[in-house]
Amino acid sequence: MRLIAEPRDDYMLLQLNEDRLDAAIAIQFKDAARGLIGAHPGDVVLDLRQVGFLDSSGLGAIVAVMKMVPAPRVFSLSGVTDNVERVLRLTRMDSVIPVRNIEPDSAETISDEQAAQPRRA
Amino acid sequence: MADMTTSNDLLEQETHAPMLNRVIAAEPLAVRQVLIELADRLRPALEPEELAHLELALAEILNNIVEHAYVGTDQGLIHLSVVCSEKVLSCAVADDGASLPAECLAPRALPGAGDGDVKTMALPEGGFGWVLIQGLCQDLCYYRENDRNFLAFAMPLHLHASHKDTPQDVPKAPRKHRR
Repeated sequence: MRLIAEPRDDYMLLQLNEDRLDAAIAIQFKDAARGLIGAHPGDVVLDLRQVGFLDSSGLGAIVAVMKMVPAPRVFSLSGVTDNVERVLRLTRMDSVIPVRNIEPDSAETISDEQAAQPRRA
Repeated sequence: MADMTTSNDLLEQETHAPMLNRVIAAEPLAVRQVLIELADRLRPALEPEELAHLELALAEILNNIVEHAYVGTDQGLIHLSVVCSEKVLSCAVADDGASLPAECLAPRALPGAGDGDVKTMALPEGGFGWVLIQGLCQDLCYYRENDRNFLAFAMPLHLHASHKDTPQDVPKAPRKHRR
């Protein structure tokens, strides 16, 4: 399970370097994220650009990780692929998990819809 | 020369037949592996969204067997059969684990989420599996016989095909996937 933490200016980037976030790695992912988030007090962005498949176990793990970043800290996803977006939509979790797209070179793009999400000052 | 071409064509057809029949160990990595194999096999025959729906539905069904039907045992087998025809994909799954609780097949609602007013700490971390299965699968049926579970479903194919000949009288998308 390859999860890499990369501190940025105002958030921590968690990069999940796995092709699939599924039942086979959901628990390891959750445990690894807990360790990394515990060492960082600020916002967290989970980058899923490499993840081409998500199942309900993986989704449950994402929600569990989101809960490790309680308000006013902000948890968001980045690099949501088509298949991941589909699962978020089918389960309606797309309406509760913010997306904040982080480019690999740190340049950010935030869509109108997502700009309404709370951000740290 | 003509004979050779024919036998090559037949071989080609066998190798890339849009079907898959496998018996796998009931464990998460075996589930992952067979889904990858299935996707590779059916990719030429299905539209990307159809393949994604099949892979997701089967992931939920197979992982459910691993986690619930075979709970408490580290041994168990799952038999999976998938066949594509021109208009429909048929799938059957069998296992020798515990029976499927009736409530899994009863109409279900999404676990509390999605109205935009849910507190983060109250968000559900599970309960999505059967909602997804029910939403993605058509003609879902289950029966148990001689301590064996059988689950079968279908998925209509090429509902949105633009590259295929579509007769005028075909009803529009007879069944939509639940959203």
